Amino acid sequence: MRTLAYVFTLVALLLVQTTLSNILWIFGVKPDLPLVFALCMAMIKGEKAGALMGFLNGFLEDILFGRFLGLSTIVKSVTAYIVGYGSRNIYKGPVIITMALTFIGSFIFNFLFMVFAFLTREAAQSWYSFFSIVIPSALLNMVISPLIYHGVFKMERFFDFYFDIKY
Amino acid sequence: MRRLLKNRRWLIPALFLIISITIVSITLKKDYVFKKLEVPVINTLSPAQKILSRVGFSIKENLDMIPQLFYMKEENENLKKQVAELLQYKQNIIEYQRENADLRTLLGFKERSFQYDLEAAEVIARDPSNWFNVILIDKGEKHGIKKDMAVITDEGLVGYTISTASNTSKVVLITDERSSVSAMLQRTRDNGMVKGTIDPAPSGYLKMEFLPQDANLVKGDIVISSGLGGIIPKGIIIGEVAEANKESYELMQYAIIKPAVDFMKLERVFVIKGEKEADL
Repeated sequence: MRTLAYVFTLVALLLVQTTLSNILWIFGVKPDLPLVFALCMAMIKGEKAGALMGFLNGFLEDILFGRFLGLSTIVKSVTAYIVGYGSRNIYKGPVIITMALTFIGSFIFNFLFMVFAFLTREAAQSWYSFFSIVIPSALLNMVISPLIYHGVFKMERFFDFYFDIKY
Repeated sequence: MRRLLKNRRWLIPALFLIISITIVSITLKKDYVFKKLEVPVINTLSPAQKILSRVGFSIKENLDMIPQLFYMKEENENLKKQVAELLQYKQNIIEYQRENADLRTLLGFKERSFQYDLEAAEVIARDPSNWFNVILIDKGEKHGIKKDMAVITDEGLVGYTISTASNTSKVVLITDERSSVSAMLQRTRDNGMVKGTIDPAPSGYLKMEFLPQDANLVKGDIVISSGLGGIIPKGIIIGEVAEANKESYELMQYAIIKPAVDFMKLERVFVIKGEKEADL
């Protein structure tokens, strides 16, 4: 039930991202809602859950817009895993921590994405505009991260209360 | 070796890496494997994408309307002027067409007036990443669309299809880094290659490379497709020259091109399925 709800949320966010992105476009870049969701999952539920969400998100993106399977699938799952693993011993109470981890995660994602895109000959020239795209998009992701983190946290508490914890 | 195998911490990432590389290389080389995975997913998600994208476009349209209200009168006057000018152009074109047909007949050339066999389609989704520019349209193999067909709007060239499913197609936009279209300057007929957003072109602009050093480039020159390469038919407007510069080694020139199509407002497109004889 819990997994289904998270998968459904991820697919819903991906649909919003791919269809309403012309509204989300700010300063020539757009935030990556499903990636932020995967990162928040990694922070709250650990690296494995985060990597799974990243994997699913990347898989759907590759299928819908890619020319082969793997580019987004690998990079998004690895990024979520790194963020989840790296934040294991960090107290995530303050919003600033969520925002900082999302910023770092977005940066790692974009860097790995460009490396993989370069290795698979999908992109060669984008390094020139790396920082001009990565910094604003990471900042945008950072701004929306508290909202998504709060949503995931609430969902987690809801499932704990109604399904798992018995009094 | 035993110790290494016992230590599972290395085993899982290593396995992940091997499986990943295998998946990438298989789907990269064998199109049909990727297509088998692609078709059911796209067919499941495309109805929801279609509905949501319509909602998105109507929101965007209403948001864009607000500032326009203040300039409506002025815009109306300008449009009236433009209509009058275009009517004059239309008359001139009809005259030239007739004159051209007569001259061709005199010279013994075959009549070369074709129209495109177009398939109208709606944009139902956009690539979520900031690096690539790919869109999904709601027409596919069932409607006669195949890989490598040009996609246009009434404003100009949008891109070309890279993959098709039964009811949807993926279109790579000309602003994508991977896109490359042979083009020429309408005024001087100088040939070059228009590529997607690459430095030093700003985001959303194009770069026209391999222009001869002596090409006379002027800001505002119209760039059209040259028809070389076989995917994009000749004469489709790509954009206009925004800036002209010499390459660092000074053997060639390049131009920054402002695309004719507003990709932010891309809602409906036409796929060129082929050419048909014009109804004169």
